[in-house]
Amino acid sequence: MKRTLNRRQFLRGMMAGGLVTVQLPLLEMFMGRKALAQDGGFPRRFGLFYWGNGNRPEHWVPTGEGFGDDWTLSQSLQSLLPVKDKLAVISGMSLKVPNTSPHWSGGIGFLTGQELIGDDDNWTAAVPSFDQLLAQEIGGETVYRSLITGCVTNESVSWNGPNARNPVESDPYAFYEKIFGPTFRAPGEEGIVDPTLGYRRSVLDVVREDTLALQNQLGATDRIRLEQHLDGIRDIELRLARLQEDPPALDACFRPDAPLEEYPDIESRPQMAARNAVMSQMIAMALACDQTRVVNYTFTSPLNNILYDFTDMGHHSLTHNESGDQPLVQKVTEFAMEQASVFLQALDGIPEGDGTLLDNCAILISSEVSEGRAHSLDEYPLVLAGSAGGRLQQNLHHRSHSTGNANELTLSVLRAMGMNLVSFGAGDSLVTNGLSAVEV
Amino acid sequence: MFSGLILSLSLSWYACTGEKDTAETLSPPTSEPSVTAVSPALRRLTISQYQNIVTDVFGEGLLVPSNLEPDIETEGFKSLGASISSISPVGVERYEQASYSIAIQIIEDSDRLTPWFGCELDVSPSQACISTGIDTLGLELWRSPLTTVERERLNELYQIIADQTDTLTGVEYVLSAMLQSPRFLYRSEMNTDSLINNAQAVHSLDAWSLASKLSFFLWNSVPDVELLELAQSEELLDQSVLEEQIDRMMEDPRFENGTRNFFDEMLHLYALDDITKDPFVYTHASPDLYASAKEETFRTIDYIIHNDMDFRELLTTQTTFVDRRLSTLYGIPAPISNGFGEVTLTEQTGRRGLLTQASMLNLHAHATASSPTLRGVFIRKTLLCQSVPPPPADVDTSIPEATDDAPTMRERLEQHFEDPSCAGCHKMMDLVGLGLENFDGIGQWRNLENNAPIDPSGNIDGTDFLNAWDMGKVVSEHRNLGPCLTDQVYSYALGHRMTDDEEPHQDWLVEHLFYNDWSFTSLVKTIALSEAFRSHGTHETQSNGG
Repeated sequence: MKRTLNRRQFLRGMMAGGLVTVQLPLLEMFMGRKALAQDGGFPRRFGLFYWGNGNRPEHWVPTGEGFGDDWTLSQSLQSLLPVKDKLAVISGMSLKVPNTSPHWSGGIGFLTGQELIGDDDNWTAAVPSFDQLLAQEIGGETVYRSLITGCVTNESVSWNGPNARNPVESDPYAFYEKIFGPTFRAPGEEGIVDPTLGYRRSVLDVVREDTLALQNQLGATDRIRLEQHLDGIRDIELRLARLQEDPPALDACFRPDAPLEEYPDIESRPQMAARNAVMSQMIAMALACDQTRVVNYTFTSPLNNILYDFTDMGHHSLTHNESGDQPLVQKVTEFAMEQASVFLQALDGIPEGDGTLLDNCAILISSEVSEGRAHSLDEYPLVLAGSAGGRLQQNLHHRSHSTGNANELTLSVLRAMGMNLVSFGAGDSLVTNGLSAVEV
Repeated sequence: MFSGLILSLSLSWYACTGEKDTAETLSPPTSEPSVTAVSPALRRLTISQYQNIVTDVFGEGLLVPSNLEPDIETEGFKSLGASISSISPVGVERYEQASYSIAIQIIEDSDRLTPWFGCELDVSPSQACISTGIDTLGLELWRSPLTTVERERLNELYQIIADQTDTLTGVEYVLSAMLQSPRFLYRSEMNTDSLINNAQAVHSLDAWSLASKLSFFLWNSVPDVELLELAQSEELLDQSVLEEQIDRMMEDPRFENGTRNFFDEMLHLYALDDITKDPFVYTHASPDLYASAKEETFRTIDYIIHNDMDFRELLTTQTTFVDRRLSTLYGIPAPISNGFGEVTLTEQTGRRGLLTQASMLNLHAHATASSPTLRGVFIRKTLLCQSVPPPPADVDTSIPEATDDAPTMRERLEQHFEDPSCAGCHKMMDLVGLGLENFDGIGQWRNLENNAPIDPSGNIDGTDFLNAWDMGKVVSEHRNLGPCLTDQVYSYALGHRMTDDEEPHQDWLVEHLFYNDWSFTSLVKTIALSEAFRSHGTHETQSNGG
């Protein structure tokens, strides 16, 4: 037989107090979306646009230094022209982590600010990646603390700590269902709370009690592992509470059109532009609807070996086997930046107050190496877009003439997002000062 | 226990090889060495275990989500990663989604639940019926009886939801809670002793933990009712009962799931699900081909194990199993028009044994080219447990392009060998992998590369081979093969990589392997019956002392 859910019965149960034992901190629950009122109305958001296997540094660095007309985009960055006045390109910096493992050292090093741990069989992050630091700090107000998503990848560049790589959602339709599926309510769709949200919270109460009981029987390491499970349960509980509240009144928020159910590869080549276009629109709307304030978007992953329409070898193989000036490697970088431009323009197309959604974002664009062929961590590719609500400089090319530490930029961004950090990174790559050139 | 294997042959090989002298012996094995106390770790279910359990418990025909938190692989095995991995918030969310997706399918066909509840669920069932259903289903999914508190919690959950909806919806949410519970998602080992004190001691597993450890090792799934009953009565702790059960389990069709899973992990066959080859370079490229290639390898392994053959024949057997797609790739007549049929490969095909199967040749190659380096790494690391260091991070690793003077991969790599920082390890990998150069990146035979003849001869650790046909034999006789296999099966079964202190156990298992004519099933049985398998060290010190 089919399940039947009678809303009246549901309400009666709630009145009688029999439905859920609310284990959430009550204050947190009922404060609702007050944060929307801060700073003249719009929250700050962070996004990472990440591509794999690096670039050709000689075509990356812009000409001229300074603001506005004092600098012009390089060949690799040319397609970012429509949003140039919202960019800060940082060149001449290095990632200072020990470069012990090709692609992994840079990939984990950039995201965590410090050296990876483990061995060749299993490299992993010593600490959470900075998107997750942000998720902990500013993610509590929204339905999702962070969204870890991708375009053509099975692997994220987001870490919760050692042996805890966050799963990535790269399937456009699954991403749509997750954010804009049955539980989503656009502004104005008030009052129609899905009754199963309450049942799910009752189930989580049971699961949490089971977890605590099991935890008591285990050793220290396993207790920590189950603590992470409990964190996940708490996240769902918060989410269910948010979904039971009325959605925030955000003018730009609406339910986007659903993507296609599938984007099959054509001749073993993924439909990258089509996928990126639809992912970009959905990410922009997830931010506009305040479903999350932290997005980690892996356009392509470190070490990927994707075949492009214009290549006859996977991307990673190409970086090592294309000879000379590597025109095809260069073309892949240019394509990645075209797609970054599509992503940024999706954000810039959504009005917020006097500006756009992009203005209230800080978007970092980077990779796990600079020159892929040599796995170099010098001349690290760093582009920043948006000003986090006026806290970061724009239309700037800043070049470090003393091989500065790339972590400085990350620290500036994290501070601009509202984190009160004394330092970022560890060991050789520790920084205690941000990059003042990008700070307002 | 890689470090235990490393003994230098010569200075230049030191960093790249691991060698162990183990002379074959035919004398009966000695008795089991004393057990090393290794603390047990909680093991999160792998995705394949999660799927097997749902099917084994609730029956075929359910759509079980596969987008769960990805398995972590460490030391080459997902089963070892399961002992150290933690879970992300997204992973917990995916477990929640999966639990509802499964629970809804089950209540839509509520006959599936009759075995546990014993009453009609779409009329008003008695409290006793619900409670019985929760107890028996809980036992099967959680592999040990519910505690009083657990039972009360689930019954209360049922009541709250059924009161507001109906019986089946109540059951749906109870099922979902069971499937989301860490009691289901993690495997913990408990022992018959008290948890406190005895910090150094080796403890015997309790009967529930033993039943579960056995079934996950042999079936990659939960214990069946017979095992649970023997755990309940504690008869399973009796040596002869245990042996009977191991024999029974190895006769059961689920044993094939278990052995297939071991080799899926060891050989990374699952990676064939996501592999890409360029169809402009390889006209045979297609996801169906990679699926067939995986099945060919599984069938070959099934064949070796089912007939209890010398395991080394996996590397030399001329018997294989192909469908039309594979027979086209191999250039041989299809044995039957539909599905897989057995064929005997002739020397003319140049192909015999695992190393020349399409699965291995595709996995250890690039999208548009073969890779002697990757193929060499596979043989060294996976089959011989030799350590192969990664390339240094800041070097140009590109291989020179083919020229008229250097038309084949061998000549191109030889130029590469001139760089002393690469030469040591690359020779070790490439000179083995070049033996498979007659097979291109998709596994098709070729005599020529860029119109130049391919020279597939080479040498592995002192033994010459002429070509791939010959090489399988040389690898099968390599002295590391036995120690490496025992290390891997033991580690997989116990859930931790064999430590240096457990080296006597490796020697002991190798003795068994040789004495039993390289029978894989004997090796599995010896491990399952061993004291090492049936015990564990003290749980890591707990912060509050108990």
